[in-house]
Amino acid sequence: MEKLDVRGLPHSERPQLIFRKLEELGELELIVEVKPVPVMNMLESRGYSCEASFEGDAWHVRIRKK
Amino acid sequence: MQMLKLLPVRFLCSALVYLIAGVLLGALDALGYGSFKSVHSHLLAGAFFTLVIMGAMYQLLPTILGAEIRHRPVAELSFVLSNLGFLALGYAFLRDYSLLPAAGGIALAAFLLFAFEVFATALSVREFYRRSVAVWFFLAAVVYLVAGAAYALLGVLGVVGFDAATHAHIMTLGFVAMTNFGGLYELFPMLSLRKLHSRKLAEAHFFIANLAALGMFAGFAERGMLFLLSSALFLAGFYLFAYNLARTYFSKPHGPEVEMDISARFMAYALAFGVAGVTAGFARAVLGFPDTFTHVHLILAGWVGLTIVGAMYHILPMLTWLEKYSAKVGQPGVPLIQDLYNKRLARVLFIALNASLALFAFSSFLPALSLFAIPLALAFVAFAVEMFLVLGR
Repeated sequence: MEKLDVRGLPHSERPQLIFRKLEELGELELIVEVKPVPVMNMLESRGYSCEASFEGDAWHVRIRKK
Repeated sequence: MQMLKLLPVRFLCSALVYLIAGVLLGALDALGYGSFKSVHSHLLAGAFFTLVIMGAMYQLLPTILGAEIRHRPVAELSFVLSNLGFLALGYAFLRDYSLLPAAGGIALAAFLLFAFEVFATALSVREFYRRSVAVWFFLAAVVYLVAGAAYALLGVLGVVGFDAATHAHIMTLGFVAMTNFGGLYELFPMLSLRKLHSRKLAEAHFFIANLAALGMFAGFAERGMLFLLSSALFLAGFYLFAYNLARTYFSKPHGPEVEMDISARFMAYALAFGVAGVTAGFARAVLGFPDTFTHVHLILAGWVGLTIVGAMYHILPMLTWLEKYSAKVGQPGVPLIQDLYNKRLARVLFIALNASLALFAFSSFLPALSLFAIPLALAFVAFAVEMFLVLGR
């Protein structure tokens, strides 16, 4: 699964990058400072499953098509 | 309106309506066209601040905790009742004071539901207190909200003696300031892409601020030594908070240097108003100078108002993009989040709000400065209209 580390990116640029990557790859592992609950809810309502875990100093969210 | 199905957006939209009404009445009052102080303060420091905070907390708390709101119908009901309560309060202050107990009762019921929901959401997460110091401040804040509303209602009913300054400080220093502390400890590092300088200092500030607030509330009636010592403690806590955020602001960002986010810029300048406002409040308590008008406007319009403007420039474009465009990525014509607001207008509002607030706050020294009520009101109204336009883009 490809990793997408968005830490350090301006917050206004993150959602479009995540959705574009998912569009291309169908799945990815997102690495982010704060658990992205609104984005996860949005993805789950669109047929993705999101598995989040806190590892070290960042959240890792594995996103796949259901 | 597609966006109004989101509860936080409904809170923020209704808050913007109260903002427009409140600043227009405030400007008329400042320019001598009527006396609207009570309704102005309750529309802004009451309805606007409270509804923004309720909406932002319903959005932020689940995000920080990685949880869902526990009982959505309770949160929905708190929206209806809080608006009903504030409309009734506005009407009572303008037309019929005898309606105050009913209006206060409705507002208190709304705040109880909100407090219940905030605690229920936080307590549903194991070790919620470890997630962020913001959660500590939010939980304390909702307790003050209920206490301040209950105190006012009991006062209006004649059950307890009522002191307007005590009520105002429980609400603003307790509820509004504690929320602002928590919100800024969470949002400011996030939006400026920096790590909070010290969580330990933020935790120490939590205890200092609450101890000081309780001392101030208890000592308000007498304005004696307890009040002065507590005010000094609150001031020291605020300086600690400002130091922590200033060190954060001037630290190295997580990634490469990028232009400072507009939200973070509003919040950074708001902090300067906060420092000036609490210093003015303490100076007033000790020296009787400057007057309450300056202290109140620096703190509430400057620190709290500009922080809210900054937070809304983040929350509303983000929610609008997620709701309307996230499913259309890759299709032509999908805007970026930063394209959903007018950047030039944001820069103009940044300058207009900061400059007119800095001058208007001192209009009690130099009455001619009251004229800055006009650009100040216009800038806030333009901001509110722009936020509605964001939701429609």
